[in-house]
Amino acid sequence: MTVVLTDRPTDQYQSQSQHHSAATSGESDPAEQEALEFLSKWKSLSSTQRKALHVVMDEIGLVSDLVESNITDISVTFRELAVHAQSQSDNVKDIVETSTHVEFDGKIVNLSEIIGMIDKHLSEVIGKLVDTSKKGLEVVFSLDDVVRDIGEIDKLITEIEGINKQTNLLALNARIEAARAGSAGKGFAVVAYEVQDLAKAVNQLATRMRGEISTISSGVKNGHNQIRKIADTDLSSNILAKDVIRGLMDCILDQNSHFTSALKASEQASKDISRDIAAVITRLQFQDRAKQRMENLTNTLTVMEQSLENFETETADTFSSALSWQETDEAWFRALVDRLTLGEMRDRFLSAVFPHEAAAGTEADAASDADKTGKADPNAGTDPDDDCDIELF
Amino acid sequence: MRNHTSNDNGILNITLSDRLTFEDHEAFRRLLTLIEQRSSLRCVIDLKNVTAIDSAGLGLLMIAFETAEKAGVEFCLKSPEGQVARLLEISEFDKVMTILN
Repeated sequence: MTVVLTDRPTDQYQSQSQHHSAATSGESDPAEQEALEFLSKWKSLSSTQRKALHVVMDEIGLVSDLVESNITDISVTFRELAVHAQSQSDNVKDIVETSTHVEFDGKIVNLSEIIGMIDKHLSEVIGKLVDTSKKGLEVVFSLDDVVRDIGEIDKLITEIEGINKQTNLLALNARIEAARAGSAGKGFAVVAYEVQDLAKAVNQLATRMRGEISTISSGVKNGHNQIRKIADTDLSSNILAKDVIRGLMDCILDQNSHFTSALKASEQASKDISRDIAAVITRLQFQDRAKQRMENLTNTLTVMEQSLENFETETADTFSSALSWQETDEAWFRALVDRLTLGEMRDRFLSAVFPHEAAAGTEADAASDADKTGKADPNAGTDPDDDCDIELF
Repeated sequence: MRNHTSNDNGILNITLSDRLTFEDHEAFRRLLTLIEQRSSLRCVIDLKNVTAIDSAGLGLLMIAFETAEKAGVEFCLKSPEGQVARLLEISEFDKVMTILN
């Protein structure tokens, strides 16, 4: 397809062409014709490059904006992160400070002091256990003595009963002898009766004593058995429990010490994180420099674009419509667009240079003769190679 | 509990063996009588061969110490081992009487 420049009036083109172009004079010089065609290609190239430069500037602007907005978001997030890290550091510090002691009865007590207190209480309890065992044994000893003494008393009562039997026998003999003596023995018989009554009374007393002693004896024996059972209760395992409790307390202390070191390390890590985040935020200020550089690039490209435009205008002014360009000359640009990996970027480049082909897709372009109608490729948006929608995180 | 006693150079040596428990209180009392008699100025109870002791056994040793103290006899325990040594240590007998190893 050949496109004729129409931005200059035909008469102007004709008047100028009379000076500069032999193409319309009817006496065309082949060399001059070739030069004009070559110049047309240059102009066509310039125009496309100018559009390409423009879209490059737009892209630089987009990149700059993209970087700026994302860096701003990242900075804000990092600042929040720094606040959280600081808060975490403070919390951990609090835990470290409170991990070695507890509040008890309104007082701050160190963990090692608690162990000392428990140890002291256990020692007192054990001392009392030993003392209780000792006192129980002393009671057992005393009751052993009482039981023995009761046995002795029983023997004594038996002796009294023996003596009483003899007394009774003596009194009987005395009565017999008194009877033999007749009236002279009457007084003696009275005494003998009295002695016999006395012996009976002593016998009754001994029987009562035996009864009483028997009651006492059974009471004492009962108490004796009970206290033996108490004294026989082995409390050594309770005493040895002190070892177990001490071992457990040592475990708690060890674990606490382990936790404290881990928490201190965590506190340090939180501080490191805060410091690193601050460094990251400082480093993110590169975005300002990057933005300035991109602005400088854009300005440079603007000048380049302007110089190309000036060149085109000057060329057109000089040669007017003797010049033309052909779309096939832009094959280099289509090749360039093909190398772009972002679909939306390809679309922007194409629509900048070939507005009538906007959104026609890039893979359908270069070659597909069938797509010359300019219709958009229905699969363009779902092109698996089109990575414009990739989420990095 | 088995026991062996000897009196050498004014020292009453009492050597105990096996277990020292409540069951031994009567036999132990006879040993206390030996201490009370003040036949020696010093009394040593050797625990090397005692394999186990219960809380009543600890009470008996404490009574022996107090009996000796009352009689003015110097008293000490000797060579406790294993569970016996551990119980004496936990019960802090060393704070009350001399324990020789």
